[in-house]
Amino acid sequence: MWSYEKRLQYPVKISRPDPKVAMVILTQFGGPDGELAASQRYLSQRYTMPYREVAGLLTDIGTEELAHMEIICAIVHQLTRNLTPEELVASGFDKYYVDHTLGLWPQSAGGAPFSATVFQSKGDPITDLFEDMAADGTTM
Amino acid sequence: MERYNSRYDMRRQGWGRQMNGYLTPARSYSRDCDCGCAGSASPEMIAPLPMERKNIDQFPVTMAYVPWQKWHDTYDLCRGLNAGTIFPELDKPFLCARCVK
Amino acid sequence: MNEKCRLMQVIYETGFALDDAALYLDTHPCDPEAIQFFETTRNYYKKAVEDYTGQFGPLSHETARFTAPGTDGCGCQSGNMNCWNWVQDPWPWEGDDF
Repeated sequence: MWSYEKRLQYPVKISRPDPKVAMVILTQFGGPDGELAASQRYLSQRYTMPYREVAGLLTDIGTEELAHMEIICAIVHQLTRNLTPEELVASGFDKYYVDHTLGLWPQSAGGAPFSATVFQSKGDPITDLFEDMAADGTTM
Repeated sequence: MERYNSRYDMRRQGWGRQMNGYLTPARSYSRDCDCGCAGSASPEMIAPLPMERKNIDQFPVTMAYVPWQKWHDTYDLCRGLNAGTIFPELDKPFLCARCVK
Repeated sequence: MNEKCRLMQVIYETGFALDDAALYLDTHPCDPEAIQFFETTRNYYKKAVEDYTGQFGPLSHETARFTAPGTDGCGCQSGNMNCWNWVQDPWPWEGDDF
């Protein structure tokens, strides 16, 4: 069961829109290594973890990734405010805008829709933990 | 309860340097926030890396090992928020494609 | 720096520290230093949230209230109705001092 706290985990206050950058940042929302993928990976794997500590850890990390997803969406939302048609075309954001206007839709920067194929949940704890290390691989 | 100060350190007797009794907040949210909490101490100075490498050449091959984290000093909370972790030992630099030629 | 920003800064810092410390405690549930850090930080967090809620509005359903109509852009029709103040303030992604 989830509660919602009406704040971001880290504040986002962008004064200058930039749809070109928004197109790239969008991948951190719905792309293969994005926060939505991360949250679904951990929240899916936790059910078959045989140790309470690990199930707790995956629950808490998965929840935090949802909060990160919210930050990314806030960034894209603020980067795409008040755009003129000329700015839309010049930035390349027009290709996204035609299908979604300024709505947030989970896709990669290249346009691939979010899919469960970007993560794995195999029910084996070691396999799943290796999946997690590979995905969150900044320290590897 | 003492007034909040983002520099409180559980190991010290008193509190860190007070700033008008309250936290002076970061004016920007960049890594070197103006609150001065970034300081000059490197992560290693705050939480020295464990240098245990005993018998590592006797570990069985074909297995992966993950050392166990222990609690050391944490970052001041202002620095932790901006670093993305309160644990200095987890504060690794971001090096884009360092090993890629 | 006004009081709202100051309290939010405390909430950001202590809230984040609690998030990180909770992950450590998940795998080290009996670590006394971690437990002490968490409890102390949580006291500051709760106090800041309480102070913020009292002056500036709720951060959770638990502390949402029903305020008088006409305040904070409440859209309820006149009469004896009160307003669910959860929806009165800006949402966090709008970038208004959040």
